[in-house]
Amino acid sequence: MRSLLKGNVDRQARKVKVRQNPVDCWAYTTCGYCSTGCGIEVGVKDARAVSVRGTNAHPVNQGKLCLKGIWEFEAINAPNRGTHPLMREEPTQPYRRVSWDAALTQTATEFRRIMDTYGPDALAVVSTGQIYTEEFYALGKLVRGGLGTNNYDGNTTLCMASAVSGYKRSFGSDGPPGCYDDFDETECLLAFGSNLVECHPVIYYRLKMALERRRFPVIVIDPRVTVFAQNADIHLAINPGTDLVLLNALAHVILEERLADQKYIETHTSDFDAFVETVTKYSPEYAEPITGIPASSTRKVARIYGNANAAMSIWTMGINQSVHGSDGVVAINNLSLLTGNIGKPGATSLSITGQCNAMGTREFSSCSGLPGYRLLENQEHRAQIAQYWGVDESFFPLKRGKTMTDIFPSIEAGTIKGLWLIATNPSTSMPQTQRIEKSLRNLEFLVVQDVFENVDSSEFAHVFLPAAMWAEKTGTFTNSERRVGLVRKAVDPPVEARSDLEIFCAMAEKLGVGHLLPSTAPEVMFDEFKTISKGRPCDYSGLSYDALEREGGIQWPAPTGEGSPRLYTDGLFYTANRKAHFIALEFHDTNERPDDQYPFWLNTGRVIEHWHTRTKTGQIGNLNKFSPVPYVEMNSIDANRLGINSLDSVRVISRRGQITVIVQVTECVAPRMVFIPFHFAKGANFMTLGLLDPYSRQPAFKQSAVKIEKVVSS
Amino acid sequence: MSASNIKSDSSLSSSRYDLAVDIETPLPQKAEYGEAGEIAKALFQNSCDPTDEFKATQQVGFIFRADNCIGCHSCEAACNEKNGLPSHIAWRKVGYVEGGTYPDYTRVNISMACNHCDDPVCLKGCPTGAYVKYQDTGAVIVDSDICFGCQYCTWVCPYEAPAFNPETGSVTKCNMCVDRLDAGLQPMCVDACLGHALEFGAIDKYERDNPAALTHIAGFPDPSISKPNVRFDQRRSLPTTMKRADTELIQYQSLTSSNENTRINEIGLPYQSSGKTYSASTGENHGSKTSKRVPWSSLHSHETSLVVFTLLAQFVVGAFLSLWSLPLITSGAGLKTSLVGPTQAILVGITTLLAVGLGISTAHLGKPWRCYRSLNNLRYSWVSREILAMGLFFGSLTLFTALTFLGVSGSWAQWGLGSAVAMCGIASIFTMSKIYMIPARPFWNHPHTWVSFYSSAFVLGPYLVATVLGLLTAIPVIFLAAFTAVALTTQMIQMTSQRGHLQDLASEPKVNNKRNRLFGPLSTNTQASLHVQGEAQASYDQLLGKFERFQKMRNALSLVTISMSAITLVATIATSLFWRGPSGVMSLVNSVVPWVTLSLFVTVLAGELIGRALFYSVVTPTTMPGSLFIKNRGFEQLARDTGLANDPMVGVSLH
Repeated sequence: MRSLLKGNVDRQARKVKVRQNPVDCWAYTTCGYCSTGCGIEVGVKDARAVSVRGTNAHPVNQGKLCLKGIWEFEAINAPNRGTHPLMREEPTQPYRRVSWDAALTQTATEFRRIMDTYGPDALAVVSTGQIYTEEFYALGKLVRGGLGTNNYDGNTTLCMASAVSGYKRSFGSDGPPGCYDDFDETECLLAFGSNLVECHPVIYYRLKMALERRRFPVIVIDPRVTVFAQNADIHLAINPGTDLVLLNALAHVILEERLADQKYIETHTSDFDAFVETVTKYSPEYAEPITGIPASSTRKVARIYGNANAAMSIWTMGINQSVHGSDGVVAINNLSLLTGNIGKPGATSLSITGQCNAMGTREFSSCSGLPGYRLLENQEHRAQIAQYWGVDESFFPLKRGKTMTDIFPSIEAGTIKGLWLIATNPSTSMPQTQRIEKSLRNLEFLVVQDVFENVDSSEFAHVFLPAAMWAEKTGTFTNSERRVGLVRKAVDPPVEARSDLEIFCAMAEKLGVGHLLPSTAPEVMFDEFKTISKGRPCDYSGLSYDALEREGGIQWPAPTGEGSPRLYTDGLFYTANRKAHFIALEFHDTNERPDDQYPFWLNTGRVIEHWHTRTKTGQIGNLNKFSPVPYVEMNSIDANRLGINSLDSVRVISRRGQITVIVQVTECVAPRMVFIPFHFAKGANFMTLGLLDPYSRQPAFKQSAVKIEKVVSS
Repeated sequence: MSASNIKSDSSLSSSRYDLAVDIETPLPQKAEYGEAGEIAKALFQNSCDPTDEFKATQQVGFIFRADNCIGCHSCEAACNEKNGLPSHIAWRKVGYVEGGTYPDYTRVNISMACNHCDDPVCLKGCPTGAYVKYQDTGAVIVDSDICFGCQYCTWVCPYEAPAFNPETGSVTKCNMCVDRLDAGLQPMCVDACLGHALEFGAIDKYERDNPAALTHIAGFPDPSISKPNVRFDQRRSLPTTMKRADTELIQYQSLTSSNENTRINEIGLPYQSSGKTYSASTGENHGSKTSKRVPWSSLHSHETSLVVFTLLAQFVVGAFLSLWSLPLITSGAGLKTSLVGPTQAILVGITTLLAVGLGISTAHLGKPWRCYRSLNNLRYSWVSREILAMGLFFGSLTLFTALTFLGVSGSWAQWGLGSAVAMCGIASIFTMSKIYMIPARPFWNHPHTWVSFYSSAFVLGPYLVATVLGLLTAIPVIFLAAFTAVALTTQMIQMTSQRGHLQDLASEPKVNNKRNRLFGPLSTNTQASLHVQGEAQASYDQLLGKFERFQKMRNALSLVTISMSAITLVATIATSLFWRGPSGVMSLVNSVVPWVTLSLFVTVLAGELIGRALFYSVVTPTTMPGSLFIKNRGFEQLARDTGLANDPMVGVSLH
């Protein structure tokens, strides 16, 4: 029995008015933000997305969502969605609405003109990690099999290239070997350069639940005292860009104290001796002045890791976005191999990916090779794909062309004249924004294909093609643990916007290679790459859309439809001798470092409420409000010296450029170090240098030197 | 995947979704209040023990594990999504306190919504009776269709749980997801929590099962203010000083000497556990720059209309009381007839002014047309009582003025009515002061609020009456000296009281307690002396820091009037009673003094305006800690000043 309490002064019984948000149906999808791969259902009312909910008992997120996921339906309804194809003669003119036919004809004509005039490689295609695998595959087929330019890459070069490169160097193939369930089995977790709490909140949830069930040591290596670092058992506050030295020192201690797994090393690895020789130099005492980590802490961590029956490492951009990002990944792999921590429950070397389908682009986009982890450099691979696609094998280049980070300098140098940007926003995401903007202005023809008309790069474009967003089309994403997840179409794209797959098919038609992409049905593409994945590491051959929805995603390889939680369980790798490689790594410090003139380290990173270049989250007030403007975190010692309070404005100046931002005084960054979230247009990347990793060509976003000046208001 | 029950979807039957079905049990028909005796009882009686009065059958509430909160805002997002809230409104908010130095830095995130208190100060404060505390769960729920947007609940609540939306003109707040509770689900925020920080359940059971449950952590206001139904789990050792990231001048200081001890946790690593308790104090927080000259505009606040209304109302009360005492003062002077005209003029003037003031105060409501609801909660709300007293005062004053014109002056009827007007006037200032004397606003919660409100009446009123009579009639100034004497005395009392107020604000908690024993019945501050001291000190710091030049200006004006009126008084008395010289001096004094009085009135008015504006600008409410962009008054101001707030995506309301 309910009755109103005496406190009420109303004589009438009082109804509690609760907002009702009725939903006609729920569509099953996989989240379109990060690579965690959460099951998320979109509530549809009157053909409009009005709500979302986490899929209960989903193997990844178990019903949970982060705040971006909770508001994801608002991304669909956000303002500035592209609704019509737009065109203009010069980027200085205003856009005008045109028909799809006119936009595509113009694009195809310009592509052909540029390729005919300057050679096929004068056209570049830069895609993304955020469209479906079906679309990546179709784009790859169009570019590699039809268009013929070798300057084709994805923005994954900005985030995952080092992990890919490191996996290939150590294990012979890309593909994260572990899974989230490893949290439940491990006895030690090392997290390198990962702010898991903000960047992958639901993976943190999985870790937290595992810790609630069973405590194990969590060790976080990060220059910032993130919430994740605070919640760790040990936080190693490392000097920026020196992870390799720490990793070598950890290996040094493990060898010195005989904690290595000799049997595993002998059976499953090669080139061990050269590795031992190199790490001998890297004692914790040698490392201490470089890394800033006390030798005793290094030893302690090495012992915890070495003594654990199962130990795992995770990492993200702190490792990857560095001049030795690939080396860092290899060094983490070395550590895993040294202790036999690969291929068994709770023991892995797991790269936590960034974008929702960065994995999909690695698997089937043909950016860095040919679909199904095939290489352009391998004649057998070229022949397989040429035959399957029905193209002449000699049409394929013999080696990979330019990466995204090399394409822009080529545009600047004038050797690339035309560019097709697909769901990526380099004018905010690339280092040295001002150079990128200048390069984009250099282009004879730029076509931008995106879901938002106001994406920063469209400012420089000749043609804008409006694309459908996540949940406006059907397809698959692959998450960080190789789980292929399905996205069902929930609502129609706005007005004339089309799915990327439809756009690729229409482009193929216009370019005269329509036979390559005969169908706009995602299932057709899925079946194609499923077939050619047979026998490859990323074997999809047992998968079907229905099974993906039923199971909440399935982890490849799945030749029989049964998922594989882990790779290398048999200790056999994809190298020529089927053994994993130890690689000896010397530390060469080529970074820009703070000096008298530019005394601060500039570190960049992510905040939980924003996604990449804020094209989506910047237009959702309930997310954007948590950080509506760029800001810089600064230690109180520096703030006091410069007479700066929180909310004051400062100029952050590097040798490349400068921006004015407001200050947050906090102890979470070290003295002489500042942190700026990278999400904002005309923001942190004005200052970043972005030296490239020699293997992965990934830029070092996180280590630049800047100076700070207080803005004195008049 | 199978459909989940994560959200209230169509699988919930509509009848279970709507609580009304379950709570339409008729109330007992017996009138519990409303009769005259009950009103009087309610007016003069301090509330009885609230714990019993609002006792729920099974009080449920939130349990917050502070060590686990990662500040991911999922709770907040899930709440806003479920309830369809715009970006500038949040029922649950996440802020943090931080301490230590790099790399030994600790940040404690605090997610806070409504605590569905045992002593629901919002319910008691609300004049419209929009709040209900339900007996079954103890949920405190506001009906925004009843609310008229006076925002008083946002003043009395220490946790900023009621959220006023300037666009709709009404308040909404956490409803404990009663629809989900009904369906056997946890509140949305608890369901969304990614760090295992938020839980929900029966408070008494949680306390039984967890003897170490805390009712307070660093950053949380004193739980004695409203007896909140929230319990904390916070074991990690924290630095002695925890700071806020917003621009409030508050920090939290460990009270107890460090009794933390290093233990070895389950996995063999050292672990610092702590039993510290924290209390708010002021710190050298950001923004407390004394050097910076603050502009006049900083005196302008949301409450500017209240500055005008309170001063007007008090002035009118003072003026009426002065007029009403005029016959006593001037008895035997044989001036009766010559005073009628000016008296009537003053009466018409003050009645009009009061009408204007009442209009202004009504306009400040979010929904002024609902003002008739203001008497709905005489049982608890000082706002209701103030509106009643003020309404009676206005009504009787209007009648009195009208009667004056009808020529019934001097009658017993007029004397009786005048007494009623005077009583209503005094009562309205009393109730008005009570509105401000709330523990959630420690700067106001002091007997000085009474002194300053009554003193505004007894300074402005007498000076005005003396000025008008002096200028318009031939009344000898000696008869007006009484007014000057009253005003002078009042100002001196006011200044002394202000001194005491400032001392109390700046003082140690124990002094505060001592003062509370002295003024025990007058102040509700007795229970809430410890943890709100920081907010009181912050107000003090602002008064003598950021707003120093205004405070100095106000004091200077007071000193000028005090000395001027003292000189005038001496001159008046000396010439009127003892001057035996040429009569020219007498007439000079008689003609000059009214002009001096006028200048005194203007000076006092200026001082009172600054003082009252400071009263609203300086107050530091007890709040939950914010972050750089959220719940940060400094950033909201910056956003409005720079035009950022024009972008709806910034989530700062323009108002």
